[in-house]
This record gives sequence, structure tokens and C-alpha cells, in this order.
Amino acid sequence: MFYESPDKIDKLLRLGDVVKGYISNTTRIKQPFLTFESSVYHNYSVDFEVPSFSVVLTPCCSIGEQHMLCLSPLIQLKSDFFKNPYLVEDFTRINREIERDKAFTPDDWEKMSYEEQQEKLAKRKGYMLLYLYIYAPSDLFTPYGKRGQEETKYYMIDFRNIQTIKCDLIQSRERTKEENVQILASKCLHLSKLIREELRQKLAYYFSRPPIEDEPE
Amino acid sequence: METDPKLFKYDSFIAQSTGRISEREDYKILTTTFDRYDIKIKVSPGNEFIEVLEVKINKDFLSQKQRMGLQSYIDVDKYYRE
Repeated sequence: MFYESPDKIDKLLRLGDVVKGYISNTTRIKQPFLTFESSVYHNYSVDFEVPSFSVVLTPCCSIGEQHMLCLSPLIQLKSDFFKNPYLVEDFTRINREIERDKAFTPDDWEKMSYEEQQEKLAKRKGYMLLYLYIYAPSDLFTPYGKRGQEETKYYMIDFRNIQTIKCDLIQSRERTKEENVQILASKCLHLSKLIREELRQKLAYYFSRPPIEDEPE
Repeated sequence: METDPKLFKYDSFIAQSTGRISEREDYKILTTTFDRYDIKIKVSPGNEFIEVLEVKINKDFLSQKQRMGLQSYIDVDKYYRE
């Protein structure tokens, strides 16, 4: 079960919750503001939008600290995903470690040499598309089609696109009161414990990979 | 008193019958730690070394990089761009 049934939903925000009503913004600059030259100083733009749904990515115990919330908008899947029948069966497989040959489309797998295939098969399971986490279909989600494929209600978040929003109504679990109705009304879906742990694991792996440059010499 | 040969054969048969041999306690299996390895060894009842059964890495001693190595990443990003 991907989402918790409505009668078991916590009356507070949790990591992985699907929420609505939160503004998302994208700030673009041409270069860092290191001078007060007007041509540089004024060369920026801020775009706002209100995504249909976003996902809470603040760890449960930190929600409400300084009335801040980390959010990532739910976005449509990439059309290339539909080329892989193993993923089409269940796109949430992207969230878990899978066998290496399953991460490729049959065409791409066949194009590889035998040695290349064996080299990949000799390695253990792994995460693919490390920065993405797929959300299972829900009746709340609008169906959409990609490249003539059947419509789907799967959506995803991109760990590379996480924003912070501040709202005085966002409070820690100790301070959350029943009357905090606007925040509770913004909460649409609640992940099951198992799936929330899965999200936590992939999120942690994404952020904790040590780069090659930091390896001890 | 002499043992009845029939009874002796029966006792011997029962002691060595299938399923009993594995239960005979003529050795102990101990796990010991050396450096970053957990080593499982077989010793006699008198604690005399018999053989090494298993050597595995004690994961508590892994560095972050080595711990990350237990999970892995399949680099297929170039196949899923659009």
C-alpha cells in the first residue's frame, strides 16, 4: 500500500506527504551579484507558480522548526520511461534497488556487447535515476499522456528541485493543534510507513554519496 | 557387568543414526573479532582450534564510502533524458 488509508492519516505534516496550495518559485540570475553595476544587478527574474501538488521533504522531526517546510513539486514522468516495459508495469520500481538489466530498455540492453552485459550482471542491484522518486497513482491526480502512450496518474519528485517556504501556521508536532485547520486542509495524501522509509532511504543515499574528489589519498 | 551385545549395537546405532551426528557436541562454534573482520571458528570442547568457518567484514567498522558501496547506483541517466 503506497498511501495510508484516510482514517489512519496523522493530523500533522509528515515527510513525503502530498500537499496543495503552496507557492513554488524559480529565481534565475545571469551571474552572481558581486558588483553593483546596474546591468548585472538588475539581470534576474523570479517566476512564481502554484503547483497542483507538492511533496514535503522536511524530515518528520524537523517539520515546523522556524515555521519552514522543504517542498518539491510533483511533476509528470519523462516520456522515455515508457520505453522500458519493466518500469511501465510499476513505475515505483524506480524508487527501489533493481537488477541492473532491468534498468535498461530491451533495445538498449541488446545493443550492448556480451561482455558489457556480463559486467553489469555481475554487480549487485542498485538504484537507477537516483534523484527521482515516483508517486503511485491517486484519484486526486490528473491523468496525462506521453507520446501517444496510455494515460497515467503516476507523478514524481526531483530531489534536485527542493524549495523552502515559510508560513507561521507550520508548527512542530508539539505545537500543532487541532485548530490548525488550514495546514491540515493542505494535506492531501499520507505515505504508508514502509513507503516513507523507502523515500527516506533513497533521499539519504542521494545526499550522502561522497564524491571521488573527497576520497582520502 | 558386561554389556549385552545386542543393546550395545542398538546404542551405537542410535548415537550414529542420521540426524544425530549433527547434534553431537564434539565442537563449538565461536565468533571472534579481528580488526574489521568477524571470524567464525570451530573449536573443540576443550577450546582447541579446529578450523575457520567464515570470515566477514564487520560492517560497524566501515567508512561512509565503504558503507555507501553496499548500496549502488546504476548510471542510466543518459537513456532517460526526455
